[in-house]
Amino acid sequence: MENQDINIIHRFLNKEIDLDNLKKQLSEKEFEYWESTLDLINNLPRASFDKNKTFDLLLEKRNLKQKKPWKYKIAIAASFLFFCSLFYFNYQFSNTELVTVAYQNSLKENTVILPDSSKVWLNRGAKISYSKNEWNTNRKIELEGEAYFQVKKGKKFSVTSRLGLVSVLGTTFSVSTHDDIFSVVCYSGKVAVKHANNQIILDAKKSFSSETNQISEIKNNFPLFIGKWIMFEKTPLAEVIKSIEKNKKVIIEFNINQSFVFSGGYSSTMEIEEILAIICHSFDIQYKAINTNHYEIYNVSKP
Amino acid sequence: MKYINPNVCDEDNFKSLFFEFGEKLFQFLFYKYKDEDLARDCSQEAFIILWENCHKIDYPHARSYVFTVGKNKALDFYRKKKLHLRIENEEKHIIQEEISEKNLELQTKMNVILAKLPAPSKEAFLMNRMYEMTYSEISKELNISIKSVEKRMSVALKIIREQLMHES
Repeated sequence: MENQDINIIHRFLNKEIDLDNLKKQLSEKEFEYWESTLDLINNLPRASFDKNKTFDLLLEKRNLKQKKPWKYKIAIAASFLFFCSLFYFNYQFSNTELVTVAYQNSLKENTVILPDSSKVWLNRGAKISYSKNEWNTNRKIELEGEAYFQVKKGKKFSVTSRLGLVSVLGTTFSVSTHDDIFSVVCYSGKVAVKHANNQIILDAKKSFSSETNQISEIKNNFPLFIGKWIMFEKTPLAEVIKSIEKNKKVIIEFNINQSFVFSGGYSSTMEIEEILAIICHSFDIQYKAINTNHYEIYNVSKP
Repeated sequence: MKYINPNVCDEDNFKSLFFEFGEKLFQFLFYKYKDEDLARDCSQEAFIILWENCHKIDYPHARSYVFTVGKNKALDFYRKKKLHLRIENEEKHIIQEEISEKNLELQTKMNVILAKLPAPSKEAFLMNRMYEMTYSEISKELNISIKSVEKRMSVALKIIREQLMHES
């Protein structure tokens, strides 16, 4: 009996028949049997639920959540930009990175051409650094050791070293920081030297050295080191003389019997007499000029 | 002629979906978990997810979609809550009792009865009574045959009747 009732109740629960139909299809006894159950399941107690309020809350939550992906996108974009800028600055930085050039034995001529075609000659042990892409706005060089500068006219050009500062507009000059002595030689134009809180203006052919703290005159047109150095090691002196003859296009009469061996060198920019003076001094021999292109080297002890 | 379903992404359609099924989902979840906050949050959450996926869901499918999502959300919440229960313990209980005080009488009566039902019967019964699902809808949702739904419903009806008789 019960199973058959239940099948009818299933039809009601399955919305196949409505409550009136259900009543009709069940006998009075059957209906009575199920009445309280049907009453309860048709009127199940409900928890209070405010549709409007809940929907408003829902919309609030929804819109808040919708904004999230937007914020997320911004965050992604921001971090993307951040990394881009990182790369950019890194790139910029790598460009502004100081270019450092140090004297190298392997180089025949130790010249550095700066971006504005100003030229720097490095002496042995010298090192310069400058910023390549800031060069047009900031002509600034850091120097260790000794270097000669040929500066193209333009904006202020400055050489800094731990001993002092030299600034110019366009000239040729050399700066040396050897042995903690700061020396500046101005070959042409004018340079301003700042050393130990003093500012000195050097005119052309003037030099300043921190050793004497005085300005003195110079004769050279450029420092000796800038030329091409010809070096010898334990070379017979006769060969050295031949090299000088060839290099300086002079004739040197070599009247020495002893077999001298020479170690050292000379610069192609040196005057012939300078070179000969150095060589003769080291071997205690003499030289004399027959004319401007003709020299003689002889032994003093020889009568 | 092709019938075009109302667009779920339309605000008005979305609202009418909520007004039609929102409370039913809430009541179902409330009876299932006996937790008003959980039921409210999960039914709202289900509709938010419906909104987020409104392009993918046809209007006629929205009803079952919301139910499935809400049910799964509630299950997640419930599991998490179970984990937290030990830590939160007493305080939480006091608050919960205060909230449900007004409905306490009715709900206890119903909950006492429902507690006697085996879980599968209770589930099917609540789906039918609260979410107003037909037997075939329940069978699809639970992935069982219609006969099984009938069996579960029969068990529920018998037990409820027994309980009511027992009471009086």
